[in-house]
Amino acid sequence: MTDRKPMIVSEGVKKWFGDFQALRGVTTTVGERDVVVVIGPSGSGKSTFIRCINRLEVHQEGRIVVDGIELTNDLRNIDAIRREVGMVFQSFNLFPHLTVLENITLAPIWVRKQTRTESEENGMQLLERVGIPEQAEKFPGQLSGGQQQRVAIARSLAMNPKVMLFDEPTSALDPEMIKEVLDVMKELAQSGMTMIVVTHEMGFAREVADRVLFFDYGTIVEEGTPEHFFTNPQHDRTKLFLSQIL
Amino acid sequence: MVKPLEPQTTASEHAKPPFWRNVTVLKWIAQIGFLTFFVWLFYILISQAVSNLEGTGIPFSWDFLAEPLGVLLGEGFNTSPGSGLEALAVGMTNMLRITASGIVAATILGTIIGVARLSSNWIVSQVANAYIEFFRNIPLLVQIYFWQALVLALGELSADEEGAAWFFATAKGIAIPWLTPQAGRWQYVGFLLLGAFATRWVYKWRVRILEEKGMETHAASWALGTFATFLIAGWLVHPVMGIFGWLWTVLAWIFGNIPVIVFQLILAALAAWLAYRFIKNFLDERRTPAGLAKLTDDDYFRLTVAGLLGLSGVAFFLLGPGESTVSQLLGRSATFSMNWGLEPIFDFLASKFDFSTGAPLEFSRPEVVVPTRFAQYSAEAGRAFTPAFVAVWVGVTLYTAAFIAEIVRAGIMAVHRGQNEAASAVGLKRSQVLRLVVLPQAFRIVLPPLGSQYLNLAKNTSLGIAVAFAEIVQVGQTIYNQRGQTLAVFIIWMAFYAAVSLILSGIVNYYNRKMQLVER
Amino acid sequence: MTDQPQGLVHGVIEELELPPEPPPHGPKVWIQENLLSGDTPLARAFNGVLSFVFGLLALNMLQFLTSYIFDPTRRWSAVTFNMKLMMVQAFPQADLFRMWLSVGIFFVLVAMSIVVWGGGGAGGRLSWFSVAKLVRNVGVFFMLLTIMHGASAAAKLVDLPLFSIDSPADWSSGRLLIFLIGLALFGAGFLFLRQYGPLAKERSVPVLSLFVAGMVIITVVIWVIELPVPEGQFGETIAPIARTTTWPWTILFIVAIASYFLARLLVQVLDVARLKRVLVILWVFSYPVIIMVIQRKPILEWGDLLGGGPTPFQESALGLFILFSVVGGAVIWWLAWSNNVMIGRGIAVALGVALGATPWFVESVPAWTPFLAGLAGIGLIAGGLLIPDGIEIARVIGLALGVMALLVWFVPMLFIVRSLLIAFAMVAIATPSFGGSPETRTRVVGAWVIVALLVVATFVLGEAETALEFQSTTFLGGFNLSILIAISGLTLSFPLGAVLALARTSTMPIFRLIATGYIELVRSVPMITWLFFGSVMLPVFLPEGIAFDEIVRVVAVVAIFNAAYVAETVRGGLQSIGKGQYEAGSAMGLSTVQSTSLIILPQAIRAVIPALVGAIIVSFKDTSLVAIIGLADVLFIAKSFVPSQSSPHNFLGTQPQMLFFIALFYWVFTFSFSRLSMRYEKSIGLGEH
Repeated sequence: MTDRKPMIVSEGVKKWFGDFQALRGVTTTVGERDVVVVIGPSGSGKSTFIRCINRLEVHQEGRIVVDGIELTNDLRNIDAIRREVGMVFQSFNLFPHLTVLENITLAPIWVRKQTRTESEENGMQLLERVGIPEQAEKFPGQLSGGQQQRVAIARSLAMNPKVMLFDEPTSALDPEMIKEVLDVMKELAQSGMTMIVVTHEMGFAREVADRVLFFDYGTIVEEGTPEHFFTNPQHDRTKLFLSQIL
Repeated sequence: MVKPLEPQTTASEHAKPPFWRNVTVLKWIAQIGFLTFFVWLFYILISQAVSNLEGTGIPFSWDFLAEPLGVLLGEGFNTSPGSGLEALAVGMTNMLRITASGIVAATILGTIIGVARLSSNWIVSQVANAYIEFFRNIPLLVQIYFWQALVLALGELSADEEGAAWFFATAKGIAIPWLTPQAGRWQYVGFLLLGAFATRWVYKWRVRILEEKGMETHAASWALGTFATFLIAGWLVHPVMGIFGWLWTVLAWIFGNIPVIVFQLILAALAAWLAYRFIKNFLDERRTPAGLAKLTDDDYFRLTVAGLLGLSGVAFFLLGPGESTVSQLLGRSATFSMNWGLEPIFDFLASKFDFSTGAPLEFSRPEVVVPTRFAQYSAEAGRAFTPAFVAVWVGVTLYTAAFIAEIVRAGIMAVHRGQNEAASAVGLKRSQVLRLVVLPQAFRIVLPPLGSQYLNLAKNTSLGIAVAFAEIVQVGQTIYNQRGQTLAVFIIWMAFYAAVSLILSGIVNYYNRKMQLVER
Repeated sequence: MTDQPQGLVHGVIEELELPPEPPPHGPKVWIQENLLSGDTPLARAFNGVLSFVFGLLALNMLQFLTSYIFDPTRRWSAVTFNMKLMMVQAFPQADLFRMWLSVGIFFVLVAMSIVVWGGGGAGGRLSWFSVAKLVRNVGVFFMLLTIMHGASAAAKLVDLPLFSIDSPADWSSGRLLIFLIGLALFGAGFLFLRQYGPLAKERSVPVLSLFVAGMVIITVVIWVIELPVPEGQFGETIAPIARTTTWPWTILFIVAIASYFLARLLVQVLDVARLKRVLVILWVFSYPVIIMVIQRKPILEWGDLLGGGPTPFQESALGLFILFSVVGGAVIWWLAWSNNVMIGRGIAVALGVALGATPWFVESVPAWTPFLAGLAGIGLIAGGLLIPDGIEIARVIGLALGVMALLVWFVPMLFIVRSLLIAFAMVAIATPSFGGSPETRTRVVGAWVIVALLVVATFVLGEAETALEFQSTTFLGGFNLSILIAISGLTLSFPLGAVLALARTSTMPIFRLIATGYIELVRSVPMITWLFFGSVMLPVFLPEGIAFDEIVRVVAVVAIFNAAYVAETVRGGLQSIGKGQYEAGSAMGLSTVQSTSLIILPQAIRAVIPALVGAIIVSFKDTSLVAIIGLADVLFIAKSFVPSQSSPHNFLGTQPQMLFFIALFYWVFTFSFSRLSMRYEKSIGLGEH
């Protein structure tokens, strides 16, 4: 599909929660600068899959290779992956006891070992990029949902990641705030970031995605370009799913 | 669709990380390392203690449990115990006695005050509030000292008060009339146990009829009536229970004559079977149609621990108790362990179920026999409480009642809001709302914190030592002051309180679970 | 936004509707609603009876109290004459300024903290209405207190079976004075409410200014009011109420108020965040400084610290401290920013040789230690040479230091050196997680130096020989001792409790097991047995030649005991924090240690502050138990020392009233503390994020 250099390779990834099998062999490749949108019904394993990519969940069989580093129990690899891969959560997960700026500079200071001034300058730049530099000294609780999610994106960007994972970033937002977050994500995609986005925003998928993966029962049922996917789906389950949400 | 992996990504294919970078290995190294450190620290401390004790000329030993002590205790079923074990038993029963009666009294008082605190009557709620704020903000020890001082300030027992009366409140203690258990009480209690079974059966039977026929069957009244019948009938016919005496004798003979190896085998098999069941259930839960789910390192840890526990159980039961440590400690013959203590228990019961007649309980009034002294602190003339007992009992009861009142109030308030309105809308009266809707639900909310208050009360009885009330801590202190076995006494304290805590929280948890089930 | 009512399509609210006027009320309505309420006549009658019975009960209790307090046979001079004894035991009269200085430092810190953390509106405001009501009710209470005193006089105004009131003709002058004060307060409050009632609800006054007013009133009272003294020890029959403490209290109040305004000035001039940091440091250091330097009599001998003391610890303490902070500091310096692999290899090889070789040359170590140490040393050298990454070498070195600290336990050496080695190993293991840029590097090394200082200081100051002063009558005792035990025990229990809570909620089963076992075991056994453990048993577990003073042992046991309760409280906070916070932390690359200490713990502790305050109150009450093991705390002095005095004043037989006083004393402390914390909770709106 893509002839770019592969950034994320997953091969037959399997994962169980107790006796429930959440992933039943996921095999795919994401190239550098690709924007991949993952869709599927809830409980289909799409979130579990992207959480495996930065090892928030540990896959039990198969392999995942990110930028040439395989995800194993190796401490060094895990540290490296976590630095390369940023993640944005559905429920923002900002740290409520720190200001917006402190949220952003925390990881650069403690993980990248930057000095405070350096990381604060960088943080202010990122806040400008997501459009809320005036909120730097506020606490997350004082911001709207859309602003919080933009802070969360800036927080991930502060680590200078090569890959960004989005786990349903707009599901917890009021409708009028979704656009401001999607705009930031579009800008990010255009800047050439490798992104995997789990979302129900089909408009975003159509407009921005290079590729769409459809997940069901813990595996990829169908994948292809947005045009192919929305106009000419092959699989019955895909058709059923699209007819239900469109 | 998927391109073959490029060489650079396969470079690290399935490379096993070195152990110092393997997260799982590091996790277990840290844990096992810490466990080793912990065990080592314990070993160091204990061996240091043992050698220090030897250095002082009083090596650690349990001998005092069996040897005569020659101490006098303030009160209890035996105020001049013959051995350390007996003295400790007296302390334990005193502690349990004050705990049990304190829990009952504090619960009743606390509930009344908690409800009063929510009363719409201003004076009632203010008095309750003052009570709570007053008692919970003063250290219990100060309160106990204060009650002691108060009792001691009462008048002396004068010589002309000789004879029986209804009530004495003097510096020598407080005496009230009492129902004193007589020889037939064991048979009576046995009869009542039968009655409890019968009551349960009757209740279920009436409920079944209610469910089948849909008619009002007054199940609760029937059950109550059944028990009352047993209560009254038992008073007269309890000697028939003496038949059980024969059964106990036979059982005692059986347990006395079964070779100990049989018990060992049974218990060892039980341990092995429990471990086997646990492992099997664990694996079954992780079995999927597609085969066994992959186990994590935590799963393996649990399986290993279960297996090890099972094995060590088997080893303990097969190898250990032939010459039980318990029997060694007691310095008694090995028969104690040989039949797992069952023989003496049944022997004891057999001696109590002997067709003895007469009332199981006898009413008596307190008496002053010797001038200025009560007959005895636990004799058959009413019941006399020592000043120490009164101080501790009143102290822990009033103190705990203040906390229970707060818990009850919070529980009622939590239910009150929505439920009260809903129930009023249905048309229930205020009293009915309280009785049928609020209290049952509030009970469920208050049970866990109530349980921890009961535990606190049990532990607080240890303050009895401040007024020389002969409970376990005071008795223990007396023993180590005389024999120097601090370590042994401390181990006994820990074991006793841990057991009491376990049993109390076990009871509370049992009711808690039952309550949660009712909810479903 | 979502709070707006759905119906307001036009978005304009014409005018706000005021709530309906409350129905008129007066004493009659109040009585009907609060004392005789009910839907049916029967219910009303029942409530009436209840009101009567409980009212009588309350009056009776009040009468009991007042007749107890005002009974002419009470010797309250036992309290006033022994106030100093109860507060500080036999602290030398000439050195009492040390105590006042301690209280002063506390006052200044409190006043400044109120400003820095609370801002201008600290403490909130109270409406004039509530103030007037309070004044009126206090007046009623005072009058009741004096009227209710009964039974003693012959001429009675009222004489019922349950209570009696005697005629004012028999009143003593003091009693009359209290009654008149009550009447004046009642009248003032009542008239104010009558005149300005509704208006007063809208006007308010800062609570702090009420505090200041209270201080002024107390100052006036202690200067003006004089009380009769029973038999003149000082050759006087009448003396000021606070006699010797009039000046100190006055000065302290002035200092407190002055530092409040000074802080308000500072807030405007300086950066608040920096002020907060400075104040926190001052709070932390105030306590050891007060105990060890200000109150210690004789003053801390610097010679004890500098060596040359009577015991080996003191001889070597300073040298050891310098050695450990320099050499250890250098190692930590590298561990904190392990970017130079070659240095790491060097350290690893050197440590490996030391670890492997030392036990072979030391006699009287267990036979297996040389082999184990040799293996560990070879492993360390191999690891140091083979591992290519600085941070990983640092981790291995940290681990090796841990092993080393355990092994050298068997090598005969000073106990203080063992402790320093263990502390160093712990810091070294934690360092790679907190090191980083040059900034943090300095901080970690600083932390190690402070830890080393603490270890050395604990040994030098806590050791029996230098701590003899602890037990002698010149130093800690009385309420001062109660405070010492409460504060030290709590301060030490917080870190331990937090670690236990973390271990109990950890995903690692063995840690969970150990923590759960510790917490449940400690909690199931009553505190008094732990105190006996500390006073009788702890010395048995210590190696020969190591002896800590009883107070130190009691503090240690109180810390161990409280830690279990603190752990349970903190665990509640940890469980209230969503899994998402952990995930966000690890997704950003923070290690477990980092995300726990930077993200999880701060939030968890903030969430359980009210519960922790509860734990502090319980712990304060529990310090009274040390009286049982014979430490001279305030309760012990009041119960045993004072009632056994027979000269120069005869206080024999005053035990009940001393207990009465102590109960009141504790009550005032715990009650006001719990009220303050409730106010604080409300003001910061805990629980609503």
